[in-house]
Amino acid sequence: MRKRSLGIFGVLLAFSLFAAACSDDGATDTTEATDAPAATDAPDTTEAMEDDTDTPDDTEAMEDATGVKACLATSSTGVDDQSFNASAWEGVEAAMASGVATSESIFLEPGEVSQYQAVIDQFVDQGCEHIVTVGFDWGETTATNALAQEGITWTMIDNILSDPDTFAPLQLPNVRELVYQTDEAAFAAGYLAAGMSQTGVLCTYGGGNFPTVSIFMDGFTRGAAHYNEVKGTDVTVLGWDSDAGDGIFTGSFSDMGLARSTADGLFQEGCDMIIPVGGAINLPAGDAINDLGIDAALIGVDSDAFFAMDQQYASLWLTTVEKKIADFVTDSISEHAAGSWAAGSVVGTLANGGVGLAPYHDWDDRVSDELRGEVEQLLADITDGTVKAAFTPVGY
Amino acid sequence: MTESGSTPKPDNADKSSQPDPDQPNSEDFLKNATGVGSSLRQALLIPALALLSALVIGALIIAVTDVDSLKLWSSDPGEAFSSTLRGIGNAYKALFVGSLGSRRAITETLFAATPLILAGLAVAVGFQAGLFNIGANGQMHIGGLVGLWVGFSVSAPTIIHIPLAILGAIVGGALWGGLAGLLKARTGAHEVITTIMLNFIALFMVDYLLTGTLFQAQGRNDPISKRADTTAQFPTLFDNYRVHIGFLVALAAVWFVWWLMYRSTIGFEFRAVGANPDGGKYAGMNVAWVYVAVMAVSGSLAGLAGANQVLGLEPYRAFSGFAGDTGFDAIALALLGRSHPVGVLFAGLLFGGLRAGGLQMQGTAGIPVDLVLVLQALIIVFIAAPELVKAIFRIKSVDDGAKSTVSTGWGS
Repeated sequence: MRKRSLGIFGVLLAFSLFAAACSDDGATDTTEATDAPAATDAPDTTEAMEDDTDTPDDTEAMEDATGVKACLATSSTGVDDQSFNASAWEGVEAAMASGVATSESIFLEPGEVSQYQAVIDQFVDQGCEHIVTVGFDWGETTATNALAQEGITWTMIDNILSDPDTFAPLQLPNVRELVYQTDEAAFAAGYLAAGMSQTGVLCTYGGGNFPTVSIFMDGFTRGAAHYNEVKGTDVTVLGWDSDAGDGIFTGSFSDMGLARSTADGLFQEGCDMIIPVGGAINLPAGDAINDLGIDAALIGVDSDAFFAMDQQYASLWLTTVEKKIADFVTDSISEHAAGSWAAGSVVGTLANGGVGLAPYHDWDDRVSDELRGEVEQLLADITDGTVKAAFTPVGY
Repeated sequence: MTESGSTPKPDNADKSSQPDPDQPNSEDFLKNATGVGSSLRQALLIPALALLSALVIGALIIAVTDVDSLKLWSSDPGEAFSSTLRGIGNAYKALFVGSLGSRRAITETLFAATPLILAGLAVAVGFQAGLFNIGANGQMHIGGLVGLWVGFSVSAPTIIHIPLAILGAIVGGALWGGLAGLLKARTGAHEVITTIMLNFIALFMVDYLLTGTLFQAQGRNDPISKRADTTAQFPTLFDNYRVHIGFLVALAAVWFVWWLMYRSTIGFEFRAVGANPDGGKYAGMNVAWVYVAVMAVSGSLAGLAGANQVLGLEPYRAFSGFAGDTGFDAIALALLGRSHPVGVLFAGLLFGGLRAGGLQMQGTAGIPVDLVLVLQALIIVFIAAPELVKAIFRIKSVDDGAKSTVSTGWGS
């Protein structure tokens, strides 16, 4: 926020804009690459469109006939957050590539909450048929506008709409809510991290105490506790208290300095496995590991961080607690185009591939076969309900 | 007074790139930038040329970031050129249509301009008195929160409730701003430092309060407040458009600041102290009191802007960082408006238009809204360095005649 008050940063901003535009091509290439391994355990539709993404020219012709004009409203962190906004836009891009969404599909990035309504007005003016709103914050704006705009189909990510006064679920006939039982996968990540930790101290911090953030922290903490139960160890988790429902939050999804000092503090307390939750605020933790020269690992959230985040951090990712937003967004748009769309909440779970653990990548050699097997077994047990990992039910 | 640095400073002269042999010292540089005491012609000319220059550079940025057109340069330069021009044209057209092209666009411009004008006035009042209030953001947070508290804890009919909430915001902002003034008056702590620090204190204090039982919305764990009562929500001026009575409040504030600064004794003291604190003291003014008063007035205007962000738009709640970047944009805006209330009004409308048009630009022309920030920043670069603008447009120093008059303001 300070950058705006200082003119010189305008020039820097200009260059970064230039750099961003230039790197765009590269970025989309890598994200498509990430989709490929993910598609194996993801819902069926992705596999079909994977072929099309490489030949955009062919799809231009067919999209005019059937495509839906899909419009994506990002949260205030913007579309290039290397996290859920980016993932949601990938979903729209995939729909565009396969022709179910028109090439006219757009995204808008409101800089702050006061612009949320303006974004929706802009979408309505531009004749959007399917509006995707990303982030818990969007709940109220989505609810009011979905009520007013019955002709538009809405996909709400990360929020179950509720009546602001009674808190009862607000089940609108034109809204589909995509929510994720992220704690299922985070539970397994907590177990894995507990098994990998040399110091016996794990840690986490979040951008803000939103349910969509804390669910990662809660699952992770309970997973570590489960490891203690099974192994009789005494691994501790700093940064989240499941009983109090509170933990360490920076209060910002963009303040890198604050994230860095938070991470520094946690590492000083001996933590060597950290899962920061909230877009790019996990990168300062990576910087801290590099600067302090400690043997520690990061655990990513949302999209497989090994691919989504800058290459310089690649060797630090133990795994990622994945939330497959892209696939579910694509599904929603595809079903809208095909006429089979239905309202209601869709919960991403381990069972339906909506959440999952990413590969260990550079840490692969260091995960013992025993632990690897245990984590796989745990994932299977959570999927079939033998182990109860979901403590915060989402959806209705 | 804008060119009054007659003593050359050798240590500065080496580093500075300004062609003028009479090096202005840093005080004069700040006065140059804030435009306090500049003539009408200067006050209009520099911002207009700064805007023009910013748009030209913005166009260049659009051109060099237009990857598709850039690729064409090697194969078909003619087509590449026209495609680049089309891109620039589309972007600026969208910016224009999005800010002025329809009834919705115009009302959105007014809506976005409302908090900007108020916060801009806050900063401008400080500038006039020689104080740099970087703390509009913090004052917005505190003012907004107090306004909101009145908005949900008091039951009253609209006609009483809204003025009461506005009063709460004014008091909250005035106290927070006055605190920085008091620190300067009593301890000599520089207001730039204290206001910046008070911003952080306000930001995190709001975060903390929003998770407490007094403010937090029921059934929520995140920092978000209860909703203001409908009787405290600013009514919109037209059905289906978001511009609300806050805009009228902003217009009233413009008039009030003009009256205060140019028609009242207190305002004269503000400006006299701003022009020369020692002179003010010699003339029998209580400079310490003026610092507190200026910061309190400045804070109260920012507090009003904060109330706008909470009581003037859906969801009529306070949340973490609800003041956004308005408090910082306000600094740019006060510079552009040359610290005159009328100048701030037009600068606020311009920035509001950029904000409203920015979304349209991204929506229809695919240019990231960030370009709007780049434009704003460029405008400030040119405003802050008037010599640069003069050099680019080969303007002779037009303002020599005004340099000895202290209290000449815009239009007075």
